[in-house]
Order: sequence, then C-alpha cells, then structure tokens
Amino acid sequence: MDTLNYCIAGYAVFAGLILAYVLRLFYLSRSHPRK
Amino acid sequence: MKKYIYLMLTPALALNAYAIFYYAPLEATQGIVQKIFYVHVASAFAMYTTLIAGASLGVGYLIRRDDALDAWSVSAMEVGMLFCTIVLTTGPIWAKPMWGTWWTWDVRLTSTFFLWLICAAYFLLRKAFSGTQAKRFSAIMAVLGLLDVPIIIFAVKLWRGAHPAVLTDKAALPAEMRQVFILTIIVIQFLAWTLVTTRRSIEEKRRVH
Repeated sequence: MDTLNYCIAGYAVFAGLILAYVLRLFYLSRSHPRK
Repeated sequence: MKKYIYLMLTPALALNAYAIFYYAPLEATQGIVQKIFYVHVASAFAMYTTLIAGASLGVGYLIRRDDALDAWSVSAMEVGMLFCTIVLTTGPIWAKPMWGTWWTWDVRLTSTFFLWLICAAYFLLRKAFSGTQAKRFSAIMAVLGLLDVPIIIFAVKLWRGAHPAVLTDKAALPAEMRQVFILTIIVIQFLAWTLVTTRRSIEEKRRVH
C-alpha cells in the first residue's frame, strides 16, 4: 500500500481543480459585468 | 432544466467513484495507484473534445464573425485548459511511483505541455487585446492548439517513448476495468460539457449587460 498516498493525491488534485473552477464560475456569475 | 442536469451530475460522480474504488479490481503489479488511470485518461478525452470544439468554434468565429460562436469557443477553451491542467498534474503523480520520476521529456508529455502553453497564450491574447482583435487573435491561437492535438494522440505510435498507448490492445484491459473506464469517460464528458454550457451562459449574460 505504498502507492496509496499517490492515489489520494491524484484524486485530491482532480477534485480540487474542479472545485476551484466551480468557484470561479460562481464568482463570475456574481461579479460585475464586463463593460 | 439546468437544475436537473446539476442534480444528475452529483449521483453520477458518486456512482463513478464507487465503481472506481469498489467495483474495478485492483491491478496486480501497480496496486492502488493504477486507479489514477481512470480519471487521468478520461480527463485527457475531455481535454481533446473541449479543445477541438473550442478551436473549431474559433474557426467558425473567424469565418462568420458571430459573437455567439466566440462565447462558446472561449467557454470550451477554458474548460479544455482546466482538463489539460488535470492531465498534467495527475500524470506526474501516477508516474512518480511507476517510472521513478515526476516528469520525462517524452513526446506525448512535451506536446501536452505545449498544448497547455497554447491555452495560456490564448487567454493572454484575450487579456492583451480588446474587442474583435482579442477574439480574432485568440481564435488563431486556438487553431494552433488544434494542430497540436493529433501530435499528442499519435505521439505514442510515431515515437516510442515512456508513455504507454491507451487504446491499442483492447484485450489488455479486463472486463470490469473496461466497464469502469467507459463509465468514467461518459461521466467526465458529462461534467466537462456541463461546465462549458454553464460558462457559456455566464459569458452571454456578461456581454448583454
């Protein structure tokens, strides 16, 4: 089970990046519209 | 309608996670780290589809000068860059225990990194210029990205590097692994296109105001 940490890290990176992008979409939808 | 799509996405991702960690068997030599394969390869497919669509819509914009096409193009390119980043981060995390190194200048890895740089250039051009100039120059950059995609796909066959070919020997993947792999491709495509359509509707609203 030496590689378990790498597996967790891989899925954490995937989930983190998707979540960060969802937060960006949330921010964009609420921010002031572009001129 | 959009609400139902979001509601469907959550159980789809949960079912996919269950299939990856409980249904798919453990690979005999690689162990649990092989589970990265599902998300890494499915993200690469999402990267291809969104970036090919983004560049094609960019070509459409260059021909027709329709702002709606540009809104779709920028949305697909942004999600494409997100999946390119996922591929370039999950790959090295899988490579470290398998190859003993985080990165090697193999043709497939280098050309994928080059694609990420093209995506970065696309968004830099959109920031550096304004109006139709930004849309036109970025669309040209997206076309350059489109030219890089076949290099990534055929790199493994043309130049034998460290990166394995995924779809050459179908019999190499056991039935359960293949089923989970196909399910992951479908779920991640669903996720990617939900993100693209959401981004597009936000872009349209920002342009109207």
